[in-house]
Amino acid sequence: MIDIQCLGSSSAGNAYRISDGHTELLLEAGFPYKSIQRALQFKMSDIAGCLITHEHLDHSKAAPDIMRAGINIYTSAGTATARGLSGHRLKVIKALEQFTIGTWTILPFGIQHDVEEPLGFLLANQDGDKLVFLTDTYYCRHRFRDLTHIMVECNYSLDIVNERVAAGHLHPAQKKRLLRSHFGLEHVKDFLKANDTRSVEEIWLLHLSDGNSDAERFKREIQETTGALVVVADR
Amino acid sequence: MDTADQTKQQTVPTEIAKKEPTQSERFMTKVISEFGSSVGEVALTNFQKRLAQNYFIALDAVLKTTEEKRLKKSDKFRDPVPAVWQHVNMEKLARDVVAMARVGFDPSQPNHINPIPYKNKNSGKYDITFIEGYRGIELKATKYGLDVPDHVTVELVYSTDKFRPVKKDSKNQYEGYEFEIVNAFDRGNIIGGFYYHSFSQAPEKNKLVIMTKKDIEKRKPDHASAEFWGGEKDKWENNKKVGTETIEGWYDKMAWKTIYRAAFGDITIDSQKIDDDYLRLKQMESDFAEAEVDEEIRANVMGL
Repeated sequence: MIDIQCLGSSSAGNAYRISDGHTELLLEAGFPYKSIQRALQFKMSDIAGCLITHEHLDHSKAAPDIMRAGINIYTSAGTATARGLSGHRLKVIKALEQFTIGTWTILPFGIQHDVEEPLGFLLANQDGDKLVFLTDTYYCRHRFRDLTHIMVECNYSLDIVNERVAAGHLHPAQKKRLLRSHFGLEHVKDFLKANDTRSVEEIWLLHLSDGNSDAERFKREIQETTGALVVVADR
Repeated sequence: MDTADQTKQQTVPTEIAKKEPTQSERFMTKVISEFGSSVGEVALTNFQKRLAQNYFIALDAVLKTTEEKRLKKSDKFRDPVPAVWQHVNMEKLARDVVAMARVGFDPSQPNHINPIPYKNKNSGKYDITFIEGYRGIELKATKYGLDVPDHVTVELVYSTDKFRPVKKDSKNQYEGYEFEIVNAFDRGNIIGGFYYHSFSQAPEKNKLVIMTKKDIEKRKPDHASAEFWGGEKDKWENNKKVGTETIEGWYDKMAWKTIYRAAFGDITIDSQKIDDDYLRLKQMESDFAEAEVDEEIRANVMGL
């Protein structure tokens, strides 16, 4: 059983607390430290570690403060260098090199984003739960077996983007960048179809764009695609 | 069908049997009907007919190459749909060809426009997308430009060359530069380049843009081929990757083309001149970006 708490999920900031009842982890730290403290009711000492996918501030803003609070940050060398992170609380991890934090076994894997060494995470616990965390990528090279929980970005839908470009609300260059940096509804569906989702209990849709998404529609369409319970993360 | 009908059918001479139009004829018919619907009842000029034929020839060659590549792949990675005319989205293609032919893009001219087939996973057919070459960009800028320079100079600067930019200030009325090739046959390494827009009737508009080597590299495509840009390339033996090899490529030419593209890309497009064809071109660029991403995803997804 995995408990997922969303502290925020948008380009303004991203952070999620996950727990298997034994070990609590923070996925991303894209808010000021004080906001994260408040959202977690100041129980920072319960957090066993914080995983960060990439260097953008909406994912890593509080990283230095979190390390100062005595919590280890797990991220790639590329992200650490880009954000200027260092010290004994920094744990540099590499794609496809497994490590453990408490009851969690974590396998980082490479994703596709316009930054230095971004990562996604596959997390398994001792109860047999398996969660994949995938954000800020325009597709995933990997397929996963026996997933029970999926946390995946679903940033935009192509038809909404095209409508906004046609109406002049979105510059074509922004569309071009979007296509090569974020996960769109159509590609998320392809990703879910390509994976074994028979045992999936929950799918969380993350990082919906303010202008290019439609939460109700995304939830309905992903539910129709997978038959699983779908939760849209609060912005 | 009764016996009498069968006999009648068997005695019909073959020379009056219905002749199926060739693919080339079907293509031209489609294009002509598109021209008719987009510009009214206007017959194709000879020039437009010739352009449309050039598109057919270029596309036919590209489809053959694509089909060869498809057949080379193993069953596991091979797309089941053959890249042949029957599986091409002709509606979209005819519309796009009309738009581009009216702009004046000619696929038989080097670096004007390059057709690339992409499998559309929704329709199951091949969409033909078009990428503008550096000459195509020049053509579009000179046709739709707001303020087109009389001359555009594009030069690479090597380590032994002497280059001095002259910027507009209290002493210099116009922007300019001094450029001297010291050793024409051994110019050293590329250190950058520049382009210069000159306006003979209004020299105050003259514009010099300098690009460092880093600026040039920044514009290098993410998936730039080592055959063109030089660098490392996978080495294969007996269908197995056995390491990498370094290829010299054509770095100088690619760097020059990069500056050339930037030079004409820097000409502001006049919204007054923007017509349906230009808007269609922009739409096609956008479609291409989508198709390119889809293709990359299809090629890279694997098991873990």
